[in-house]
Amino acid sequence: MISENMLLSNKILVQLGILLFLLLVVVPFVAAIVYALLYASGSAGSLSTGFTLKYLTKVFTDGEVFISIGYSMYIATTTLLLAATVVFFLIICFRSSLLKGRFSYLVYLPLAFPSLVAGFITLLILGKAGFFSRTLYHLHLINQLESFPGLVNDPFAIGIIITHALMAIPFLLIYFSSLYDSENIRELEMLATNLGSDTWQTTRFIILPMLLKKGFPTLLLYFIFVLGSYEVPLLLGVQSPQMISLLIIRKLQRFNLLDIPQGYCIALLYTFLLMVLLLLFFKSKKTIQS
Amino acid sequence: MGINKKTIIQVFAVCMLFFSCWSCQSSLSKKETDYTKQSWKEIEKEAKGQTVNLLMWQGDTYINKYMKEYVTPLLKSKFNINLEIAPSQGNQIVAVLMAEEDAHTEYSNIDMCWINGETFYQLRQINALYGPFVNGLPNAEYINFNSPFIQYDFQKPVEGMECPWGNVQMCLIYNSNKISSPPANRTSLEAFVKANPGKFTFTTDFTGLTFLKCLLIDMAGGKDTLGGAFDEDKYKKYSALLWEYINRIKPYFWKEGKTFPNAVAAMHQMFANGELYITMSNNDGEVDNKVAQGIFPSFAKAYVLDAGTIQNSHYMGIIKNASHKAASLVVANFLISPQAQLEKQKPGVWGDGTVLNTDKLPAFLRQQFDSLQNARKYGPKRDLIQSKSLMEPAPEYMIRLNDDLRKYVIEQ
Repeated sequence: MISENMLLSNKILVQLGILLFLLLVVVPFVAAIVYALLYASGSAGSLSTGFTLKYLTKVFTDGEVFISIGYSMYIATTTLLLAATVVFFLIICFRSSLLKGRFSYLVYLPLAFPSLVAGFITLLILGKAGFFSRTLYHLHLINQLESFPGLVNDPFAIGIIITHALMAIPFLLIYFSSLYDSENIRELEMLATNLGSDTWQTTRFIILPMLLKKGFPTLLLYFIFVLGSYEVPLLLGVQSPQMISLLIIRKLQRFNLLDIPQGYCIALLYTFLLMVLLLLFFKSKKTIQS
Repeated sequence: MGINKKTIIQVFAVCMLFFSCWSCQSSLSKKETDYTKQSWKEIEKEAKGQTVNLLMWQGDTYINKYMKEYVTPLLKSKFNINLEIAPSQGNQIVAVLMAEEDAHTEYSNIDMCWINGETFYQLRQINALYGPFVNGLPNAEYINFNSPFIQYDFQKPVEGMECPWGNVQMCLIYNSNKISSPPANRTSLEAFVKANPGKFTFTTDFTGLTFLKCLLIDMAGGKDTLGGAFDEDKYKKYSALLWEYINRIKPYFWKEGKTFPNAVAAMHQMFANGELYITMSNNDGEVDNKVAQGIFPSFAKAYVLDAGTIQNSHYMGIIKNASHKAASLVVANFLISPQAQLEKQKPGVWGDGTVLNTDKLPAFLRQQFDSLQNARKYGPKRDLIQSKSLMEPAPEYMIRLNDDLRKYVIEQ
């Protein structure tokens, strides 16, 4: 009787949990998508004139959205490649000792900076009138401040990538270090060494595959985070091309109110892209598991 | 666990139904007071104890200080009105109000907003402003409605739908240590830019677009040539000349013209640290205020182009669905009172030009306003640049310039 009651209360709890999840997460999300679809098709909004596909057509024919998505992907990929390379190098060279002792606080420090502040710091350090430029000028290594290479507001997004990478490195370092410990990679390394493999073989066939396999979901989520970043590219980016969040906001909040439906079209395209990315990820995860 | 897909779909459907019913609830008929039929005393009485939510740009320490330390306490002590200020500007305000409008919100969360031409145009497009109300304000008798720069906002008659609050003229601010004689026309600007590569640019925001409008008007033949409604033929003809001019000198801009600052604050910062020799401001009084704040070094001097620069006014609007209209009317009236306007015009406070006709004021107040003009150290005196003031063209010019700047300059 008691176990039946417990089962019943468990069932009710689970149902309540699902209800809350639906009410607080799924329903608002779906409602927002439906609203965006209505807005993008001219069926909603103060200035709507009825159903039309002209906004979607404009977005597709303009091509700006594809350049923007490509540019965002380039930034997110380069950021992660850079950050992951540094993190793996540090882990392989120093194992998890970086996170122990007095200097470990330094690793955590960048995590305390909001992205806007990190962007400002990059601007003050890497700008043409920034710290490095002035130092080189006073050391007579450059004739004028303008000779300092353009590392911020540059078309290759160097400033954005450096800022994001610097924010990603501590986070990934902490994550992969704990993964290194929890997965007992150290023991496997020793075993491989005893069996005769060299450092390169251990790294290539044990450390990297294990860390990448376990850490892939986190890397993907961080990729999505950088892909949709706003403040850093707003401060350190160029006017064209722009990252996807900036393009959406520009269409939603500039002088021409008739551009707003285009903003919703781009936001929907972006959401669709993310969904595809996540679906591919879950599919590949299932395949790996099976 | 005993929960099948059918149950989840059913729960989801119920949630969606609930959500859509909730979001689509029709507004009940609300009782509106006709304030035009009330005496000012009655309005003040109703305003007592109300809280006015004001949205305004808060990017300037002095402006924030004026609002927080002068306006807010006086509204509380004189009228028992609480003024709550939240940061927001033009397009963001429009976005919030459009969302409220789309959701059929009965009462807006916003009572008042600080706006100028392009936002006024947008808010009129979505019918979000309350009014006309300005003529009902006791202090409106002092407003200089004879000035076309106050009477018209981006060529649209104000018609009492927004209350003039300040009047400013665009200026270029130069580094007097590096430039002895600043470029005063298009030809000398071109020569200056070519002689000083990397030291000039403009923003892609409101200020930069205002600068482009000044050049466009100059190319079209000067004052009033772009007056009246938007003229497609004129725009095409003169904007082609403008883009040709900008693209010709663009390689000598900051970052070789490959990008532009997106906000004037970033440009000010680069000007202050010597990266740029020229910055811009929509307010002819801003340079004094920025030097006083220590943001600009004392080498900063402001001037206007020989062909003129745009003079425009900024306004306070009351939202159509504002919850506290009576208090908003009292706030608007206070903001255009001679005392509040005088305080605002002090260079050490804000340095914002008045919208009042000082000739209508008592002699002692008039003298105080006049003495403030002479107190300017780094900016031009208003009476000296008044003859070089241009009217804002219709808002469509700015919308088109904004799109075409990207198309013909930035993406080239």
